[in-house]
Amino acid sequence: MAIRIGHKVYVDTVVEFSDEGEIRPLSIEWEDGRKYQITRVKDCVPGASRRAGGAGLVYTCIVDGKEIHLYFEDSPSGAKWFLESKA
Amino acid sequence: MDDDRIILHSDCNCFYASVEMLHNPSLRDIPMAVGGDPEARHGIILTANYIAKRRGVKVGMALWEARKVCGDLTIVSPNYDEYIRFSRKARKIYSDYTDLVEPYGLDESWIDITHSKNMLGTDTGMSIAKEISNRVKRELGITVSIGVSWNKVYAKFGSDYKKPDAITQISRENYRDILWSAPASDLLYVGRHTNEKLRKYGIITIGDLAKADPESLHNIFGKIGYVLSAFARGEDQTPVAAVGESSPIKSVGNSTTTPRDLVNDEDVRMVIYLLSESVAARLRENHFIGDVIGISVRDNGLFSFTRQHRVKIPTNISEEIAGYAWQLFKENYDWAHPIRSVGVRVAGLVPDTMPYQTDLFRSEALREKYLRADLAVTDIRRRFGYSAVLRGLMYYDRELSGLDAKADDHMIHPVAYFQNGNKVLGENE
Repeated sequence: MAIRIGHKVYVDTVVEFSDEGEIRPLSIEWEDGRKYQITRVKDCVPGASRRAGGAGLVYTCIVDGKEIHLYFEDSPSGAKWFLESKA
Repeated sequence: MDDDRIILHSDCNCFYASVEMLHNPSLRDIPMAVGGDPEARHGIILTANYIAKRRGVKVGMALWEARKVCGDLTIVSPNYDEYIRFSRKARKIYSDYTDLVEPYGLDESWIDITHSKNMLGTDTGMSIAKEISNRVKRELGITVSIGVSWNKVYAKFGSDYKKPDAITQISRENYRDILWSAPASDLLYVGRHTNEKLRKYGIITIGDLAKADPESLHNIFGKIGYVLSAFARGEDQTPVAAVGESSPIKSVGNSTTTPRDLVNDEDVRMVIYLLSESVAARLRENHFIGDVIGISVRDNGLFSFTRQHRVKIPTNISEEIAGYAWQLFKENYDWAHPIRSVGVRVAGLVPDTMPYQTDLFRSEALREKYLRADLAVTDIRRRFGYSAVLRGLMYYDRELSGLDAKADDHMIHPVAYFQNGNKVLGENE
C-alpha cells in the first residue's frame, strides 16, 4: 500500500541486497495497487526533493521505458521509499 | 599571504526549522518555529524561520512570548533524531574535501582546506565554498551560509555576515572594511557581558577592539583580553580539529528544568542532591575526580547565574558535591524569585588514580565510607532500577524528585576553544 502526504507518496518497494551490501530496488507498488517492475537502475546519489519534502538517496530508475526518481529516506523513525507525485 | 590557511565556516540556516520545512512544505510560506514542549516546561523557541524572524520571533523567547509578537505562529516540536541525521549528512559532504572538519554544535562546522586545495583542482576557498553550498542544497534540501577566511574567527564572522544561502569571503584586502566596522558583539566570544564592559571603555566596533592596546585589554579582562585582541586582529591560530578527534573531557555536569518552580531551600536542596548523585555517578563511570564545583541557577524571570568554587580535595562523592553545591547556592541566592532550573557541574578533572594531598582535619575513613555508599547505591540502581533506593530527602516531594530520575541534558563538556579546537557544545553520543 502507498501512503500519500501532499506531494510525497511512500510506496511499498521490493529490494535486493547484494552480497557486497548494495541495495537495488526491483519493483514498486503505486497508490492504485498496480505493481511496476524497475527494469534498470541508472544512478544512485544523495539527493533531496523539495517538492515532496524529504532527503536521502535518490535512485534514477527506468520503469515502463520512462525515467523516474525513487527516493530512499533513511529516517531514524524507519527507512522508507518515496516518489514525488506530479499531481 | 601565500602561507595563509583557507578556512571555511559553514552554518546551516535556521537549521531545525529548515529540516522541518523540507519535510512539510506547507510550513514554508508561513511563520513557523521549532520550540520545546510547553507541557514539559521547556517552552522556548529553538529556531524560527525567516518569516517568523521578520515578525519579531527570536531564539530563546518563551513560546507565549513568541505567540504574542506573532499571533499566527506555527510551533513544531523538535525532532532531534532527524536533525542529527541531517547534521551527519552535512558533515559527510564537508569531509569529502578534507579530514579537518570540526563541528560546532549540530548546525555549524569549520572546514580547513589549506592542504587539500591542490588535490581539489582549485586554489580558492570561494569555489569550494560554492560547491559545498550547492551540494548541501541538492543533497539535503536545505541552505548554508559559508564564511571563507584565513582564520576560524573571521570565517565564523563571514558565515554570519550574510544569510541565508550566501558566501562571504573575509580576505586580507577587505577585512578592515567589512569586519572592523561591525559591532564588537559580532565577534566570537564577545557576549553580552563582555560587550557592555567594552562599551564602557569606548570600544564599539571590532576595529576599535583590534586597535586597542592588548595590555590595557589584559588589565580589564585578564587572560581573555589578549585573546579578544588577537581574535579582532585576525591572529587567531587555533587549528581546525580533525574528523573524529574527540576533545578530552573538561567537565561533567547535569542540569534540569523542574516540573514545577522551586520555591524554597528544601526544593533546591532536593534537586541539588538528585543532580549531584548523577554527576558523581558519571564521574566515577569515566574515572575522574574534580576539584571545581559549579552551580547554575535560572529563575522564572529568566535571570540566571553560575558560580563555581575550587575545593581542597578533588572528589567524585555525591555527598561532597551536593554539599559544596548547596553551600554555593546558599551564599549566592536571595530568593528574589522562584527558580525554574538548576545545574550542578564538576570541573578541574583529573584521573581518579591521581594522588592528592589529604586534609588533616577531614577523615579519609569517612570519605571512603561515603564513596562506598555511592558505589553500593549505583549498583542497587543498576540491578533494581533508579527508585529502588532513594535518599530520605526525596520523600519531601516525590513528584519533584521522581520526575528527574532521567535528567534531561546530562552533558560531558569537552575542553573549550583555546585548548583544543572549539567544541564548546558537548555531544553525549
